[in-house]
Amino acid sequence: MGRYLNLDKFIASEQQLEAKPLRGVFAWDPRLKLGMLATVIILNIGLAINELSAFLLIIGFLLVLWTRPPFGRTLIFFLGPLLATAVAVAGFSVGFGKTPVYELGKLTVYREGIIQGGEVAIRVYCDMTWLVLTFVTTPFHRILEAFRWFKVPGILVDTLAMMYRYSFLLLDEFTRMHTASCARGGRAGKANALKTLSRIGAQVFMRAFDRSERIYLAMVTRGGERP
Amino acid sequence: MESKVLNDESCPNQCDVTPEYINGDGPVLDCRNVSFTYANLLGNTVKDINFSIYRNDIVVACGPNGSGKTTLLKLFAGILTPGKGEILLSSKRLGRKDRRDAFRYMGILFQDPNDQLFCTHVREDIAYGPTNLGLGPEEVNRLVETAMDQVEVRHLENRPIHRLSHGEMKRVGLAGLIAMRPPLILLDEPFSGLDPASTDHLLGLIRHLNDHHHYTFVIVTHNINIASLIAKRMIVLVDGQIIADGPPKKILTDEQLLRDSRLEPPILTQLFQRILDDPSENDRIPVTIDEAVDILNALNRNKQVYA
Repeated sequence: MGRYLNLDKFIASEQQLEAKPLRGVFAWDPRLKLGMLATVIILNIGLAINELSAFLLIIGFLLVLWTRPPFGRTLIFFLGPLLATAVAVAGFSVGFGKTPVYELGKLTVYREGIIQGGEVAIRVYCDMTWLVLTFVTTPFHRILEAFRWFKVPGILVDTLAMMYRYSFLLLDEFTRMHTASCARGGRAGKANALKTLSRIGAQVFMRAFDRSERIYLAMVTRGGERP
Repeated sequence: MESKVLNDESCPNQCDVTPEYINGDGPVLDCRNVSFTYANLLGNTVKDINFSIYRNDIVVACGPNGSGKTTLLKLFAGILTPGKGEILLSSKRLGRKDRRDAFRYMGILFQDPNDQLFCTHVREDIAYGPTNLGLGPEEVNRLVETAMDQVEVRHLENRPIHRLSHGEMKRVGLAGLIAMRPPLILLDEPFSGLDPASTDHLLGLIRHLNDHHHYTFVIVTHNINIASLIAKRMIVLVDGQIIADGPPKKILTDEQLLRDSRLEPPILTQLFQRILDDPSENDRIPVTIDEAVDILNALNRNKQVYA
């Protein structure tokens, strides 16, 4: 792994996940977790009742505290939508409402806008909390099994499986090339670093294309294309 | 066609992964005047290949880089279609339309195990082939478990593929083939990137499958030292043509042939060609360690007699 790029630190392996003691939500059946996630999303987004969303967020957060999932992976789920949520909250705060609460130069922050932005944040983090409870506490192959049990179309489940399988390989390939480029001065200067990164990105894409052909052939030789 | 299952009582583990040979004593693979050229290259990549492989054989195809070894394996597997000539797998002609059925007669292990293993977890990947054969869930489970025991990957069954080492991936790939029980197994550079212990383990496994379960192997490698340990028959490919075909002893002791083919004789052979009084006597040059020990013991006895 490169000195500058070490995503592996944040993506705890499934081995670690399997090795975790069956504590809290870890011990729950993946089908139950998926069912609960779907229900929460429907209630949170479909019904859009603020008090209910807040209640679900609190319940979810308490379950996260009880379960203590891997910190790095949990953090990714919470940091991922942070910027977009912050932009939405800021936009609502200055764009909607009648009761000014603060003047920031030409911008006025309104009370109603803050409340609306807060509602958005609650909805987003309610979903994220329950996503953590489902995906961070369950090995991926068990989630796929649960998808199949719920009769999710096979092509979708298989696509998810392939994406999961090869995302690690592509990330590994990217990291190896990045390390090699660093060893040859690929990060000397910001413009050069950017150029190097884009070259590596293109190379990973091309290799992924080549690999897809080889994987298809491997599938065919094991009966994956049988009539 | 006559269906025949060879007796596998001799397997010390009593495991039932012996393949079914559907054409009796006929060739497992028959290659007739096969030539193939890639669309973007001039000239033939493989030219006029003619040979047959019978059951229970271990054929090692050697040759320098770019000699057409992997292309030949892809032709055998039905991945490529010959421009000229024909290939028969278990007496069944392998045409462009039949490649979907080729997996019933052969299994191929690709050089890069990341191409070979495309499912998320070990058990799921091993079960992929038998499921495609249309077997019931119980039979699939039995085959998967037997194959995992054979290649000693039972402890990895729930592990994600991306967390396996290179050697483990190769073993899991082989388990996926054994679970399908094809009479012919094609291995493309199976020992590349393996440490000595993993190489030894894989060699033992191939010998076990050949001795006790009568699998037929075609192994492509340019590692002549490993070829000398496993081959029952050797083929040397140069520029897409077979320039030598015969028992390993005959080929591995022909220094000129190997040098002409940009290959090196095994270390043991080179050593004895320098030690022996008359190195032109190929019959006296050992290929295996046991043969070398016999010759050294004989030399030692002669020395004692003269002393």
